[in-house]
Amino acid sequence: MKKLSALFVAVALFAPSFAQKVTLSPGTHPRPKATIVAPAITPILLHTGKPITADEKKQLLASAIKAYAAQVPKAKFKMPVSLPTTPPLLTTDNMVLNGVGYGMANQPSVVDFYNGYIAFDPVGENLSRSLYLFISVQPNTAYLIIPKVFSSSTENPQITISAFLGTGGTPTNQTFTGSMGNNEFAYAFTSNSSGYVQLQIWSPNSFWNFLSCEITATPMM
Amino acid sequence: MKKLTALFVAVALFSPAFAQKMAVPATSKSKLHVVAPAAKPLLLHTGKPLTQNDKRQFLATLIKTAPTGTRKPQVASAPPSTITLTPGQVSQGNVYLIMENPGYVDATHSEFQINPGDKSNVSFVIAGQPNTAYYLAVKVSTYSTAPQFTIYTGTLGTDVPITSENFTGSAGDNEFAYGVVSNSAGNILITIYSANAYWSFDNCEVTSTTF
Repeated sequence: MKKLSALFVAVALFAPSFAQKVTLSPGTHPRPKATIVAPAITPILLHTGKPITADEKKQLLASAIKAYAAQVPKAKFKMPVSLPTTPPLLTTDNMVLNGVGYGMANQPSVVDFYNGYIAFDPVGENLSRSLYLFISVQPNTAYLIIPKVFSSSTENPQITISAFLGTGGTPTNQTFTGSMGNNEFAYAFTSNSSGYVQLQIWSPNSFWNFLSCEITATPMM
Repeated sequence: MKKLTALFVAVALFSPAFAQKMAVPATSKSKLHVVAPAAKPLLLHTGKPLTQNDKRQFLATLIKTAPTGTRKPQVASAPPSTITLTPGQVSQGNVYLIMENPGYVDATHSEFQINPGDKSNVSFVIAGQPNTAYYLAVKVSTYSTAPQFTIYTGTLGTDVPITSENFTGSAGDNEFAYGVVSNSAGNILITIYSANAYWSFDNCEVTSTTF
């Protein structure tokens, strides 16, 4: 065991990137800050182990709207919800959708625009090794996010998604166990303000790739 | 040296990361077929932005490097075509970007930030054609005062040997030119890293011309 530890210490010394990856590196450009707002409800996660159907999408959005309606009983909400046939799609080679949202990868292991994926190592102790999605939100609107990810781990790959609730807010980490290969899941929330909702996706135990993400906005009133 | 080699072999065996990172999604296009350039690539770094004259001269010199037998007397048989890759435009025509271990990838702020060290890098994949010269005008930026950049073609562990060039830049924006000629169809892989600086990829003009 001592030999193995020595081996990894030696590698850390020989390969500077091993040591550097655990710290957030300084930026080289000034970066304007987006206005981050919290979702109006605790987001709802759905993972069925299969591609999410249109019916499941509608039901999930309806659940999110009902959760919000419970907070504002006097308001009237649109039901049932309708969904666009081709929602905006964030992909690795198109990580900015004007007016819809954008993605940012922090400390990925590979960004391959040839094959269309962004690969991440398991988060380990480096909690910032994640994909961040910034969803442009408006008041009284419900949002449905459908990320597609790929896991190369055979043993119970876990994916965690979290919405940023502001400094001091308790993170809304929600985790599901997927399977090796492609995994699709849905995440729904509502907004009562303007700005960006910041979502963070990582895996606690698996090498995984981000492939794409559908983003649907539905006015609730 | 043998011990060092054994060390890295052992790490490759012990660390699943080495194997797992290579797994690509089922949606992947195809495995890269990488070919070597037809001649030693050229690097030009003047310490200033490249002028049109620099670019013209560089391209002419580049074409002269093509091995005799593949090159015709004429310099170019068609007007050069140019595409530009940026953090917001990561593939165009037959050129793609691939990054290994970047610090962060932020297309909305037009920033791909790369860490120091050869394991953190940006690669250009050019689907090369026979008798074609490819000229890259690369813009990068850094806060470091004496950033060392290495640019190379080829891949480790294949029969495409590594050919590397180095230059020392300066704090702020840096522009350099790099050119390769191709005499076969296949992907030419060009990789940039900095041994000592955090840096950002800003953009890259890729000009191709047949000869």
